[in-house]
Amino acid sequence: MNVQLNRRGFLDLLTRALLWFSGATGLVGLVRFLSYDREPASKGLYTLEFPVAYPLGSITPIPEATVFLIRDQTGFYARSLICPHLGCVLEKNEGGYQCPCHGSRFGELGELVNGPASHSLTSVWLGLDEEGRLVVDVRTEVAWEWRLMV
Amino acid sequence: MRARQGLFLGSLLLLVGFVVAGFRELRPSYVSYAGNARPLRLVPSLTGEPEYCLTCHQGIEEISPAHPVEVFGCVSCHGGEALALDPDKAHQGLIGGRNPADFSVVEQSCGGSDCHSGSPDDHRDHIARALTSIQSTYAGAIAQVRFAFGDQPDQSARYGIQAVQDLVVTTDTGVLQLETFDPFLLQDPEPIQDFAERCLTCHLYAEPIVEVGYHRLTGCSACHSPGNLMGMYVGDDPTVDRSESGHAAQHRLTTSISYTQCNACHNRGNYSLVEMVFRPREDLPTDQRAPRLQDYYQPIAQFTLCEWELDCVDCHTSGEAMGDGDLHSSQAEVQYVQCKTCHGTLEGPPLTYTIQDPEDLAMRRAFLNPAIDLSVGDTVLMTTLGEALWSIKKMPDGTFIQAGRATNITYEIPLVVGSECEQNLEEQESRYCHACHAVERP
Repeated sequence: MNVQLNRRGFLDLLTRALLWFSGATGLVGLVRFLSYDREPASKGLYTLEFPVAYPLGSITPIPEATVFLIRDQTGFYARSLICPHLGCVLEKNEGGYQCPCHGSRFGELGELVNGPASHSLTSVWLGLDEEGRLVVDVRTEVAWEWRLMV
Repeated sequence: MRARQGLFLGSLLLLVGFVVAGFRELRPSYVSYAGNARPLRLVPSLTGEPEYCLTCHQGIEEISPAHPVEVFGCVSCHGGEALALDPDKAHQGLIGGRNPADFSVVEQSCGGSDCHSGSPDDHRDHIARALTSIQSTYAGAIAQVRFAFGDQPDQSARYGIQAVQDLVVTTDTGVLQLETFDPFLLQDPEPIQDFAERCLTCHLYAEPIVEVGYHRLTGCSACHSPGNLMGMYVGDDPTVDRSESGHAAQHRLTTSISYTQCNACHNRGNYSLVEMVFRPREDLPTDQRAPRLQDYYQPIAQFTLCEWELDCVDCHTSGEAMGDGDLHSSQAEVQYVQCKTCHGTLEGPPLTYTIQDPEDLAMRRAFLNPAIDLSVGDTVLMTTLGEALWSIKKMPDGTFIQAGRATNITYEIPLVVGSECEQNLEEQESRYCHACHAVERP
């Protein structure tokens, strides 16, 4: 089959080709834009062990959640290891915790020893999941005296 | 026909646009800096807002242990467009350009009651102290020159580089406020106008003289961001031009301030008040390898060993260097440490106090600059105004050990009491000590 392509036909074809190619290129860009992989927001809920894993009188650091878990006669509670001054992660020292940034110090239970932080460590929410494991939600602040009774 | 041509051209332009966009996408501008093929995201815990600054600035030094990047990020202090990946866009809205600690913007970048301003305690309100200090106001030089030329009846400060107020005056010599020094508006005589034009180069608002040895940044960074003689950056941020002067040596803030930092302004020459020009010394080194005594101190002066072996900050207190929160009329009103502050007198050892409070200023300073290990119960040296010379500790055997704040070298401080010193009890200022203990220049 012998197809004669005159000048007008060639330009028509070229225009269509350019349009299709542009459209396809734009579509690729659109798909890439829509499929942008947002990095997940920081995790707030962490699953811990069963309550029996934490004996009475224990203080257990939970590094992945940046908290430490305390179990005493009054129940379970968790204190954040984020310094309430400006947000640096506290380090364990003799007798408590110290902020490596500005030197605020806190006692074993998170009580303020010296500033520049102006208040004690934040207590965060604790609960149990369906299996009975402890869960801690570092995004939810609770009162200093709050306890989980198990 | 025209419609067809338009369609053809339109489709061609569209295609070209897509090809250009695709090419830029394949090699974005940030690849040329740190070589990152993908943007580098940081979510500082202080703000919780993502930033992409490290995409290009990967490798930059952490500014200080007190400002970790994972907590503060970059934008908290520097401003800018946190999400932009193009250098021009990312740098729009930068606070103070390269230097957010310039005094024109310092409140915005370093201020805040959790940071460096807004505290009723002068020791914690660093910005107010710095802005009222004699190094910022230059009020002493201005007052003395105006007095010398008969433009004011006494040497009390009336004008500063910038207008500034001090609502709480705590010293006998403090003044309430300074107006902006503008000799043209004040119709001061010509020499004072010349002074204003040629001699105001050393205060903390001023850009430095662009010559070897004078390089420093402005504002807080003048002292706290160490530089070098050439003003060249030698750190690991791939975006900074290493052949260009006007930079700190690294992206760093420190309280461990070496004498070389002080020497960017001090000991570099003198102002001639006859000609109203700065006369630089001609014997200064062009590199940092030169011996310290002969190359940095004034050739006309004699100094004792400690004055050229220690760093300035080892003896001069924060109150002297950074101000005591009051506005003063001369350097002499704030500079008070003498030889006897550390060495005592024939009558007794230097003043000391024992740290009782874990929040004691000495403890805070030793934490930020761990040149010496301090704890509650330690006894440290104290000035006559009650400032702690926290890097000098009294040991259980009664000796005084000093740790160099910039060098960590330790020295035992010899005491005058019990020595063979023939010091006249009526003559205990440092100049009398120099009469015997000075070291002459070779």
